[in-house]
Amino acid sequence: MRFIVNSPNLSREQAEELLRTPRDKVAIDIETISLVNTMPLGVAVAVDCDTGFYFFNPRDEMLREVVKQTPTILFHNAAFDVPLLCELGYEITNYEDTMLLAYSAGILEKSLADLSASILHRDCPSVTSQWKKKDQGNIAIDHVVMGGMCIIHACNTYALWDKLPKTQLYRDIDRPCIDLVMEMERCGLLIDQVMLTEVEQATVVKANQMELELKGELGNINLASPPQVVKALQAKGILGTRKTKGGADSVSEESLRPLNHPVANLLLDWRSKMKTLTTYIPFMRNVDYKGRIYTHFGYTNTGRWSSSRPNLQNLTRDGNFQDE
Amino acid sequence: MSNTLRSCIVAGEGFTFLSLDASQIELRVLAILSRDPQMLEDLQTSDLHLATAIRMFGWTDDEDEMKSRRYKAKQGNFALVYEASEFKLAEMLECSVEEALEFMADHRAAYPVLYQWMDATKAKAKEDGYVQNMFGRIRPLPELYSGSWKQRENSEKEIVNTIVQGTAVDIVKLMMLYLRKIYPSEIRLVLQVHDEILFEVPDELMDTALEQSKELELAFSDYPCVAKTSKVYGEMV
Repeated sequence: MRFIVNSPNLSREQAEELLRTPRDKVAIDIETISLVNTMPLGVAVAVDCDTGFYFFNPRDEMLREVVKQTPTILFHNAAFDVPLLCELGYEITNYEDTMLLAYSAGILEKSLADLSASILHRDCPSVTSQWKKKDQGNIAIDHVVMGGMCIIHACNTYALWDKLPKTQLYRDIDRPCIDLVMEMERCGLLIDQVMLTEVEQATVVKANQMELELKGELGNINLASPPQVVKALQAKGILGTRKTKGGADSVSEESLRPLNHPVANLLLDWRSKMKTLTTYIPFMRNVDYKGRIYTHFGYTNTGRWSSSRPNLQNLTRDGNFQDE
Repeated sequence: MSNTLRSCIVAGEGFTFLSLDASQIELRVLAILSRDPQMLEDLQTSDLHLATAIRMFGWTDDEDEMKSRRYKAKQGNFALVYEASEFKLAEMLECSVEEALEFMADHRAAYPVLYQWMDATKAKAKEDGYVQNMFGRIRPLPELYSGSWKQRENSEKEIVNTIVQGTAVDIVKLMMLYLRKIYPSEIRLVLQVHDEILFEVPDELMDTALEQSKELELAFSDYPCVAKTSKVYGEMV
């Protein structure tokens, strides 16, 4: 089967003719193996708010023709889909993004499912509902069912574009900035692995020293266990400034930092070193064949971009992750 | 070489990092939005925090004392942007809560128009249920009407911060778009950290990039940027 269409009354010929009819825009959604493994599995094209096709081969020639002849392609989160299509050899001359369109209109819901419900009052089933276990990805699931869902995503993207206001903020800032986000995500940063080893070694030594010192103060406890730490701190008369939801003393940074107590400070500094060792260094080791790491940008409620996997914005500003 | 994770981030062979940092952009935005004449005047000096210190505590020839006054003024200016409570400020300045309250009153007296603007902005947001920055970016704040005082208090703190931070970052985004237009495509945009834009520049194009960054200064004259270069991200000078 080459493609499926969500309009059962159409014959194969009618469907192909409909698909090939020139139009000013179509909406596209891509299914990948998983969010981490972004190898495309299939592509849905919506030709209006209710009619869409799903191609089982993301390189299908007919799909390529549709993309080539359509002046504007609509996506929901273009920074994810556009690079994948470009990688497959598609030429995207102009695109628009409904996630950013909603964002620039002051709507803070970002997912297609949430926006479909609140703006379109439509269902938007998630492919993850087909997964038998968490993180399974789109492997060993029914691809016809998945394709049907992907068509709904593309149709809802099309409908959102028609429904949402096109603000000046979108035109002047949010839309053009998608190209910048894609450039940063594509370029990445080169990591000096020799230097990283030096930092890792120095951090291990420092964390071990701190652990010894802390165990001297608090006893031979598991420093990563909040209940054990609370008990040991209480025994020394150190009480946090905040409580957990369960009513226990909190050992969070917000709770302990205001105390400015040498033992509490040492514990927080040890935690920071452990965060460097267990989170940041593994991320910086996870380079591609060019030796580079790639962060992912998201959108916060104030207009700022957030960076994740790894968070390079925190890394550069927060002295806690530096080893003086 | 400093032993930090930032020092592990290096430019590719034949490339050098160029960082453009829109220094103190949030305080500049605050001054421009509020039109506080004192703050606008202080921003004309090369050192805003020193100007604030002189305004709040006066000048002394004692270098150490002046340094300490500048440090306090700097903490005060940042506390202002983030709307720190008297407790947080006391922690930042390592002083008592009473002293922090006194400091806040002095800061308010130094920039009265700015605080009037902040009060009026908060009142309007509470009426509207949302805030809007200089570029029309809207953020709904439904928790301003929450039944929980804690949620209301947190949401109130978001009012000025959202406007100032959001405006500042939109200006930085416009700067990035401007630079992307004038820079050759061989110059790669690699990172943005709030007020800082980081490019990886082919060595032979660095002079061009630095020269063109002066055009940015003319186009965004209210928001000066500090340019720094290095092969290593942790060693930008």
